[in-house]
Amino acid sequence: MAKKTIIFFLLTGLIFYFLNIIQISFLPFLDFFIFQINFSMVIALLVCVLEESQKLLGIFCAFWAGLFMDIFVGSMFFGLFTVSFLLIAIMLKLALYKYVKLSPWQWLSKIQS
Amino acid sequence: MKMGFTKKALLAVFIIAIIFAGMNFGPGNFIKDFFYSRSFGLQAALWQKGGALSFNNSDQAELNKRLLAERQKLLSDLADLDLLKKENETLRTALGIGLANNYQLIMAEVTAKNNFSFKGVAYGDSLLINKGSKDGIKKGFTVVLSNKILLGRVVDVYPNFSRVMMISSKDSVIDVQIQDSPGLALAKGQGNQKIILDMFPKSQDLKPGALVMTSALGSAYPSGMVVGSIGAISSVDSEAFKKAEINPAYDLNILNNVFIIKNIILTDG
Repeated sequence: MAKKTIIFFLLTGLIFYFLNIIQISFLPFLDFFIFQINFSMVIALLVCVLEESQKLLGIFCAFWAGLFMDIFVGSMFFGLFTVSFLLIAIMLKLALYKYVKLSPWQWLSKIQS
Repeated sequence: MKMGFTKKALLAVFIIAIIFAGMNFGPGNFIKDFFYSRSFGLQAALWQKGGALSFNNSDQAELNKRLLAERQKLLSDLADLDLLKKENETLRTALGIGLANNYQLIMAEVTAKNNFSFKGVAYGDSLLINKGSKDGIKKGFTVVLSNKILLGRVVDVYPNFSRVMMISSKDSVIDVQIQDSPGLALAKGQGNQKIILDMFPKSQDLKPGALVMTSALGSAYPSGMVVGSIGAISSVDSEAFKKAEINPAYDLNILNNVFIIKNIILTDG
């Protein structure tokens, strides 16, 4: 189980690495507003909100999004994005676990049934 | 998820924060440089592809027309400058200054551009270039394109790479002068390739298309560097100054190589 989690964690890191590279080296040329959005941040936030609150993928995403923003974007205080994104993700997940309990998908399937 | 998870998670974040805080005293820059070096090939390839893609999508006829008009204007400016150059040389000789202390330039390749801006932490409209402290780059060096077109200045230096804050960055404010006008003003970056001219005296004439150059008053850049040309002008009766858009002289789509002026070290400002 732990081995699977570590592989999953590293795989998420790899995806976010390539996402960041594309974000800073390719997307600046595409002139639409949508391409100027920081995708890694938005994806991490969406995963945190949309996945089941017991799962850890959102926190992994927040960690890698923050770390690669510190590396490729941040100018001062190395680690500031990582630590703040991690804290936000943890707080968000705890709030969702405590007050919502259901992910939007579970909520939708419950309504449909 | 048990409630004990909260304590464990916060403890983990605390430990990570301590580790990262320690990295700020040295290894942080080397980690960044390591990732930049490893990603350089891929980033350079993506940068070339992105520029080509964007260039092909634009309206060629419109672009050609604009370039032709700009070329004609530049040629006329060049003629004026030629006269000034001769006059300048005569004066320098007379004053015994000589032309030996010309700018020493280093060429660098652009590999990435950041749009995300966060005051004091991340510069929006900043570029990553493949020359760093090993090549003699220092914080504050001016970065230009050929023909003295100002691009920005170096704000972070790593061993093999540097970060350049463009003049369109929200953190950039430059003292400028306008062609054929005695008035001084400020060029303020607005992010996303936009620059505005502010604090231009209302009593003075401002014409669209006039050249905007750095003034000798500012300490951040050498004077006489081209910032751009005046675009739409707005003048509100209740305000004491005129404002205008500045069309940057550079084009991101064909921005592959830049030059760093090496022999001037400037302070922040």
